[in-house]
Amino acid sequence: MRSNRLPLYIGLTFVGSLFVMMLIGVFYTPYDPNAMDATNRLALPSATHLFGTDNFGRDIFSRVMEGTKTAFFIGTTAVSIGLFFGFLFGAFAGYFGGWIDEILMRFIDAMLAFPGILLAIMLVAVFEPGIKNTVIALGVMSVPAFARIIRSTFIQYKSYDFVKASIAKGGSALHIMLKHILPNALSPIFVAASLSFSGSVLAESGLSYLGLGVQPPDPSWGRMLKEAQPYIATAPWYVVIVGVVITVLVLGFNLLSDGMRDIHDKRV
Amino acid sequence: MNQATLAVHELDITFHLPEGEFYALQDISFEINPNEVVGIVGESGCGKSLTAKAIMGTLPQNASITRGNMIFQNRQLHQMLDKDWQRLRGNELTMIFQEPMTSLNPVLTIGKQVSEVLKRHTSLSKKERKQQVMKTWKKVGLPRPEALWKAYPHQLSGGMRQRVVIAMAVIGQPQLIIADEPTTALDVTTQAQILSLFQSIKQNYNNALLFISHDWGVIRRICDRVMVMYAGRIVEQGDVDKLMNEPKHPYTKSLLQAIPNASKRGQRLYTIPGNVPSLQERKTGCPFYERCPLKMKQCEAVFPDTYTFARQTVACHLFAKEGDHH
Repeated sequence: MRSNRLPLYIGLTFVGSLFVMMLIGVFYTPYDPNAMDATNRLALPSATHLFGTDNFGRDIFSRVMEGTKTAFFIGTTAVSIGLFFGFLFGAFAGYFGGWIDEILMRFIDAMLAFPGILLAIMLVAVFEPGIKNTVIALGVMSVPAFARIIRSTFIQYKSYDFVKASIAKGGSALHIMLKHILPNALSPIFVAASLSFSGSVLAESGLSYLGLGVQPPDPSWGRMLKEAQPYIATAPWYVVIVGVVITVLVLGFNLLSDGMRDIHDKRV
Repeated sequence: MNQATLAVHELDITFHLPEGEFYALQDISFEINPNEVVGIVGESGCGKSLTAKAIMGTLPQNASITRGNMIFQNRQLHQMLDKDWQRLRGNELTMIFQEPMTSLNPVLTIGKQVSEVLKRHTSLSKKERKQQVMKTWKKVGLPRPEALWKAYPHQLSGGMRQRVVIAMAVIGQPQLIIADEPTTALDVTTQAQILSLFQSIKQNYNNALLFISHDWGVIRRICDRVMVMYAGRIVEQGDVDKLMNEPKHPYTKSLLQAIPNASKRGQRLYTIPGNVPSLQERKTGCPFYERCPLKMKQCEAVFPDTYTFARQTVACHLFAKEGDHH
């Protein structure tokens, strides 16, 4: 049976086009995303303002482009934090097993016991809202998922003969973990990273919507959603456009991870 | 006489299980001299592989050495730290596994995996390592080294993979190679080629080889001496030809009797009744008691001493009067 690559391609298209939008946004936006125009508030989408304007007369398209940067920054950083600590926990727990595994995984269980978003709200409330603390909170939130996936692949591969063969060649534990097991574990890690990326973007939107995430003047899709809410009846396109953009990114990454998992499963 | 490459002396290995402590290996003593090939034969579960693991220092977590010692090149193996082990393995002592399919990492290139040994144990440059690897490949009969350098394990046949594995083992020029049934997973023609390869390696590298197998044909062809293991004990050891022509222990006799050959055509093949007693079933007496055709009264209660006949030793009560008592 041929594997269905359609989800992968759709996911790649979605994520890819937003990524291109972000790259362009670094050098060029049609308007200054923060420039207000009191005479042109809540304008309908048109040739001059592709997505219309918001309640201050700012160009929504330019602001969405700015928001893409934030979304990718938050996704990438949160995934990196989660991946780094998740790898440390998962790899050591899985490879060494025994009491090391018990201690590390009970710690992960404790983290899992907190609902992720509550943990993030708590962290942000204790320290201060802002992009840095949001990223840290989201990164910490994604550690358990990475740790568990990495641990299970390490347990699976550590009993393989090539690991024993590497021991027989004089390989140290760290060498075996990084050079022999990690390359085999990359596929499931990519799938998890992609899922975690979309989860982080979504969680950031949620936090920013509550006013706990990214603070002005940093642009954020979640805060745009919040700002659009009072005008849901008078200017519905504002909220719909921002919603659709968030959906495209999240859906894109989810499809990407689905597609990668399908390819990975086929090969096994 | 030269000093032995490896001397194992009265080694006991115990498994610590929830039900209690069980001897997996008992009173294992043997020597491997430089340039010598020593075989271990026995049924599954007799402790052949465990002996290999003990020498390599890769015993399972719930097993430990409870008595005896192993001296490899003047070093006490069981007193070594992880760091010393890593320096020893691959460089002076290495192991070849049964399954060439799984002993290579599927996501790394062959070149990378073979040169890994040199990377860890020598200070050769990348280019020198590659040259060294290709030289070794030539010696183990691997063709087209340039293509092989970039190939992945799944692109090779079983025989080629085993050659790659052997190349990984010999490249560090170790004094002792342990081969745990290296030909079992191969078909008969490939098996013959790999055995010739082992013989030529011995001439090329002058290393000692500990060869684990349950195939007497393979053992006869490649080994100088052989040890017969049963239920965690060495029941008989001696020179291969002598031992196979004049087996003394009833277990060795039964094993040899079970080999099919042309003269037994049309006859029912001999099988040894019963099974190897499991860890929990082993008692103080001779472990072969239940299955032995020549059992005597004292066999049930007391494990026999070892008796020596020239270069052959046997642990059986039958020889209490004849042999030199130990």
